[in-house]
Amino acid sequence: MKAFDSKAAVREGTAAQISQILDMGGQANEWKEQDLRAMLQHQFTAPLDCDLRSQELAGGEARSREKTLTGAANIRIETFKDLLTHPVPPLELLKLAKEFFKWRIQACKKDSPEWRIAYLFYMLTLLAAGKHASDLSSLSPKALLKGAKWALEQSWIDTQTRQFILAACERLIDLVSASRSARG
Amino acid sequence: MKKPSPRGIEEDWQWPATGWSDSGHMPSTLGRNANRLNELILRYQAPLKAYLLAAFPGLVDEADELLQDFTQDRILKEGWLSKADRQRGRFRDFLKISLKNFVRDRLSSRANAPVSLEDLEYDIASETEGEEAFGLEWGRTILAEVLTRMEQDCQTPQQNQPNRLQIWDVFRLRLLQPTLEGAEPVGYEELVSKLGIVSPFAAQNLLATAKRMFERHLDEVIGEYETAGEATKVEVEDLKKFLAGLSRKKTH
Repeated sequence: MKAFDSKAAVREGTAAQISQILDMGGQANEWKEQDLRAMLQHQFTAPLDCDLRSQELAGGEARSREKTLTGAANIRIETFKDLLTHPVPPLELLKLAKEFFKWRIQACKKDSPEWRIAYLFYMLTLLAAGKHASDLSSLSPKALLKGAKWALEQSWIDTQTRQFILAACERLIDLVSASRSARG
Repeated sequence: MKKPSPRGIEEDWQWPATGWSDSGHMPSTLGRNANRLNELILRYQAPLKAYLLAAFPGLVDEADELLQDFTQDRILKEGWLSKADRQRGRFRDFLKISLKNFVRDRLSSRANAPVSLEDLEYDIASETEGEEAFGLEWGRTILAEVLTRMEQDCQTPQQNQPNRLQIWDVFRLRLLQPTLEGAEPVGYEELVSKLGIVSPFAAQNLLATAKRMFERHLDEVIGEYETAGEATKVEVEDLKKFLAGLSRKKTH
């Protein structure tokens, strides 16, 4: 394939093309709806340490993160899928993942593809924590279920993830019921 | 006579290789880096030639000679550039107006008589074309220089960014090629597999870094003929506005 020669291409560029590049492409370079499926699968298989180390932390927080990631590697939790489907996911690691996705939610433009991936994984992380979700977040079970409902409405979510969310919701509902019963 | 295209001739013509920086009258405020001024003059020869050919289409056979004379009699003339200092934020216009006045002076002295009304009308129509050709070519020149520097920058390894080439590749595949070639941007799956990107957020970071790098180089290139800061910002905005206006005009 012929290599792209930016200088030659620009020399032939129209006013509209030059203007669009100077404007950074506007919305044109955002991912499309069909890219979301691939992004979802990619996030599941992404190595934990790459994303989780990308947030700048200092001192004790950075040391604690290293310890958590080393611990995860020792029990062969290497990807987000490994973490979310683990029978007993380490709480510290879930917390680290939750903080990462929260950071991305805040950094991304609302409703952009990256925002939606970040929000979905934020919810998945909390749902994976089960009865420990309240240790990770102040979100009420009702708010968690609302987030899960949003996730289930997304057309780009695959069957496996859908089943994971539904199962987690059932557990959550059971927990809420049990808690109500215990209170009388 | 067939009107010459403002483009396509720039490769054949070279600006006189006079050392601007050696001419002894370097401006103190034009641009941040005086040593680059020689390169600067060479770089903007294409917009000037595009302007000359579009605004004075009857002078196609003399264009090279006129531009060489313009360089000798104006650009390299002591004190000429200091006038540009008074027109901060408008080096581009200063260069263009200087050339226009130079050519008009040359024409009127040659004819030794006032121009006819017919000639004047013809000139007014061509003037707009000249302005447009000059502005578009200026935009192209700026962008080509920014992209050249950005690509070189990405090819320079840095300790904290081992995959620096990915920055250029993401920018090229997602933004440059689709815009300049009118093609669909490469889809997510193909992009990450081609470039070995580890996660959606890594891809997002690469594109964000590329955009920051592009803006930095754009400021740098413009900062070489405008004073840094507000004048550079104004020039960027003016260029964008001009090109967007021209693009709307062409589509209507």
